[in-house]
Amino acid sequence: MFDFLKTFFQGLIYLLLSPVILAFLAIYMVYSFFVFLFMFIKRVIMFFKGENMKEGMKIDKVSQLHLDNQDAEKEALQAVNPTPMINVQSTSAPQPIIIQTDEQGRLKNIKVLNTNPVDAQPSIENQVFQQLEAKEKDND
Amino acid sequence: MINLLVKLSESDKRVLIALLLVLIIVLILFGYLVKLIKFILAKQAAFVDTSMYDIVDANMVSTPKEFRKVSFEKNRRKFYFEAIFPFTVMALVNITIVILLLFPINFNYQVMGNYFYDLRLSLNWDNCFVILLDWIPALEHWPAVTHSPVFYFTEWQAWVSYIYLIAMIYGITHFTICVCAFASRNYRTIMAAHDVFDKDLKKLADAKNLNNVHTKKPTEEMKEAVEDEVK
Repeated sequence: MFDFLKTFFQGLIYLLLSPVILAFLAIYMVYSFFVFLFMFIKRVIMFFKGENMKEGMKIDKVSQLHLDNQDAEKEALQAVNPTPMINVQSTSAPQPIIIQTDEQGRLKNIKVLNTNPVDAQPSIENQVFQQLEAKEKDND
Repeated sequence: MINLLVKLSESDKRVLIALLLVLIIVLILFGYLVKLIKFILAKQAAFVDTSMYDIVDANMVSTPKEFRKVSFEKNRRKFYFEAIFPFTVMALVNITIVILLLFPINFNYQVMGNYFYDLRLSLNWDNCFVILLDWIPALEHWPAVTHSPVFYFTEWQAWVSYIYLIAMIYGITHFTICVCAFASRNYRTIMAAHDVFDKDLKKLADAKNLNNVHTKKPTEEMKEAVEDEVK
């Protein structure tokens, strides 16, 4: 509701101010016409000097050069004093995983093969199976 | 006042309400039009920010005066390149007319004026209005058309006149749009010159909090030297 009223009163104010705005615009158009003629003459003079107005101002080129130099200096400093990186060392080689499924594709067993013979331990499923086998033998 | 209200008939009341609604709708539409124009001009004014960013970042300008000088020159160049096409179109059609006027042929400003006059749409507004409450004019029925536009497509002078009219309407419209954009960029330059170089204590406090600018605290000797002014 507030936005609606704001738009309404803005419309009313600008409608009342529209003659002033149009008068200002007319004066600015006359000024812009002379600015256009001035820039046309300036472009002609620059053409005979060997410069091109479309290429941009000298200050743009110098600014870009100055910024590029500062970036290059920053990079050079970083190369001399590199920021310390945290080195993550893995203690074990990647272990191959065996996934067993039945004829319908349902998961039966997951086994992780430990390639290190010293640390080789049977998988959890195999440990449980071995414990069950040992119990059956005891019962027998 | 009460006697006046008693005199209003039902149809008069309906017309008044309709007029009021039309006025409200017109004002709201005008408000939205103004919003749209402001939005477009703000987009145009963003050129100042993009064009001056690297220059301010590189500290090539250090005072508002220098900022304005560089930015106004950039605005003038952009306006020149934007307005060059409509200006060229207007210049070409006017030069063509001047060349044709130099030759002893059946073509002059009066001939052009006659063709423009025949393009008019005239309406007869007599007996169309009814006066409500002794002062409010309300439209009773649509006006009659007394003259509709006539086109002379077989005459070359008419073709020249119509092309001149279309080219000038296009040129003036496009040039006006370029002038509005130029004015909005100049206004933004004046505002930005203040924004960029103003010494704002709140901005300094925010910068200190975010970027750790000058956080080194003064020594005890420094504090003692200015103790009489501070405390």
